[in-house]
Amino acid sequence: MVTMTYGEAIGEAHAQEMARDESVVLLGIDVGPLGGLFGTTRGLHERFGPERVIEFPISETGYTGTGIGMAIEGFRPIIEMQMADFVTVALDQVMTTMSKEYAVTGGGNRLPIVVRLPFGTNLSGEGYMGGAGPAHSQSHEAWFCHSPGLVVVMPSSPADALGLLKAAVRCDDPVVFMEQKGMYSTVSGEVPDGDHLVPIGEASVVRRGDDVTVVALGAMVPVAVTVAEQLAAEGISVEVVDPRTLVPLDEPTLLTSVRKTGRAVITHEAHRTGGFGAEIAAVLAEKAFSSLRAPVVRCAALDVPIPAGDDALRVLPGPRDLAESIRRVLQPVPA
Amino acid sequence: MTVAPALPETSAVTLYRAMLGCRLAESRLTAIALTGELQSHHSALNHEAIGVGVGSVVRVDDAVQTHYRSGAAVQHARGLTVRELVLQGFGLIPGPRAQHPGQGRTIRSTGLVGSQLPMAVGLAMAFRLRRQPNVVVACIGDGATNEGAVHESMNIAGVKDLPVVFVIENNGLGLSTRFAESTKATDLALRGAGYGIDARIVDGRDVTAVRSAAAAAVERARADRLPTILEVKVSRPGPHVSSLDDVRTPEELAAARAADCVAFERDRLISAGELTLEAEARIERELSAIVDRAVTEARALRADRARRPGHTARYSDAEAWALGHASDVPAWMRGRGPWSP
Repeated sequence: MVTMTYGEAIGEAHAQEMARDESVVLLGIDVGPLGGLFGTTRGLHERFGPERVIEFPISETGYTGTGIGMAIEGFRPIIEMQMADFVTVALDQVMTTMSKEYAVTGGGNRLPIVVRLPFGTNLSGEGYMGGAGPAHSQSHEAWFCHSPGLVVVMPSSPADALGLLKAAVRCDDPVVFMEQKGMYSTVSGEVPDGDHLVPIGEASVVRRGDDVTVVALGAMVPVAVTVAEQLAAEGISVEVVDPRTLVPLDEPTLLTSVRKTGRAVITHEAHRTGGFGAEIAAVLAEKAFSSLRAPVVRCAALDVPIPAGDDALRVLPGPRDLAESIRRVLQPVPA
Repeated sequence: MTVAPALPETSAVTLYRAMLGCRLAESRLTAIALTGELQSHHSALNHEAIGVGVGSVVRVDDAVQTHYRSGAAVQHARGLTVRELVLQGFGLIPGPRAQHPGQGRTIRSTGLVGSQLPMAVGLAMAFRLRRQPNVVVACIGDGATNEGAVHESMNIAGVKDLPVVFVIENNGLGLSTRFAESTKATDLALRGAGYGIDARIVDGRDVTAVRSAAAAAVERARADRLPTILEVKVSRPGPHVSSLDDVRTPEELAAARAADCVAFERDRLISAGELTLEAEARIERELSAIVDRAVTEARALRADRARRPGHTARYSDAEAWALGHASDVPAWMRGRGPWSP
């Protein structure tokens, strides 16, 4: 076991996979000597050279599509967006081309691509990403979940970041890798030695509990664990489930937990309306309705563009919001 | 490096035959679409000289990115038969893909004009990094050149010295919008200067001119690893798609139809004594019969497919994927993990 930050784990996953497989290349902007906007890929350029770590002009559409062409020719590109927000100018490449290439070519062209999207904010409000404003703080995961042909993963710990990125690189189909940029340097944890892979499509029960299930995404996972520990002192037993992969969603793990507790709170940093929490709530309503003892509660960002600076914290979900949501779902339901 | 053409032989008559085969298939598909039997058809009409010219100078292991104008002719020049063109028009066989055995690497356009170009640049990047002596020829229309993806692609190809030939098929119309309403410059080849890319203007009526310009550009990409832009001037004899009206005046349409690449080549061959009227009529009869048989076959296949029950409730996601796309279902979709990398 080694201890590393979330950001270091992402860099380590690149290094391990690029050393293992020559066809793995990194495509991005400022990924060369600078090591990326957040420094997650520092050292890769020196180690693997400019033909494996390929720098592009500021042209997200151009280099995302270049990755598609390279994948058709047998490369396994990792495409880094400097921030998830910037994928909005390359969405046709991801949602219209990449997701459909395998299907529309009758299985002819497989695209083993990872699109890395540094999303979200620093929920603690500390540091550079404390609230980087409406165009540098977005959480878009739901869009990609709505585009069949894409796998969507979202790790919330250094070990999962390492293991899921390595698994994503080895996946023969495109994977959207949602990495929470506020966690790069603020979250550390132990990472297993050796070839650590986290299977795509498997949720993780992060904390066991009996009274209520909190389904948490990304940076809300550590928040949920903290809140669960606080509420334990009040005699409330909270189970925390991290889906880790959104598509394909590990429904059995979610359903098993909710059938046990009978109550669910879903929390994510993305906006409430049309967020992935709505999908999870719908799955629970469709498949665990008779087990639910209270309406499902969502604890998400308000439907307001994320403000800059500290005002972001008035829009994003925090520990107190989550604790209130949990208390609410535990209220007796009026007959 | 010698050019190994994809066509079995490249006599002028062979090129003419390829253009005519494509013309007859496309004319028939357009006519069928006008009856409502097909929803619509984006025809390759009068872009045959571009498709055949370009498709006949690249090697089988080079890549061509097609789009809906010259696409049928490019694929035909690279080995897709007239029968298969008809089946493709009926939606019965998949469109271009990287590995058609024996038919050359062909990649598709995406349905969003211009958005396919970065993919072509990616193939060129792969060839360059692997020191593979292959090239990419990417075909787009004049309308597509105003898309951001096209700008980004040409800029990347220029700055990275990629072995790609951009063929801009300038037929003067982006769907129904006239060239002068889309572009202030007189020629799209002028844009090459902005990307540091050599650019030429070519007469799209003349298959021989297209062929020699394309051959030079392909050789430059192969030998010198440098991109080229070819702006091929051509005219479109009908509407953007069979289901739409044409906005042009009768005079404009007549002029567009008069500049016909198949008629131009036929007249040239006949006046040069390379083709007799009898031989020309025989070729047309043979090709028409092939189109007739293919249409009969396509109709039967289509009727068979229509008997497949509809309604999503009958199918899982995986079953629907396999039925609708003729491809295996991706591993991750076959059910819950553990997905083994």
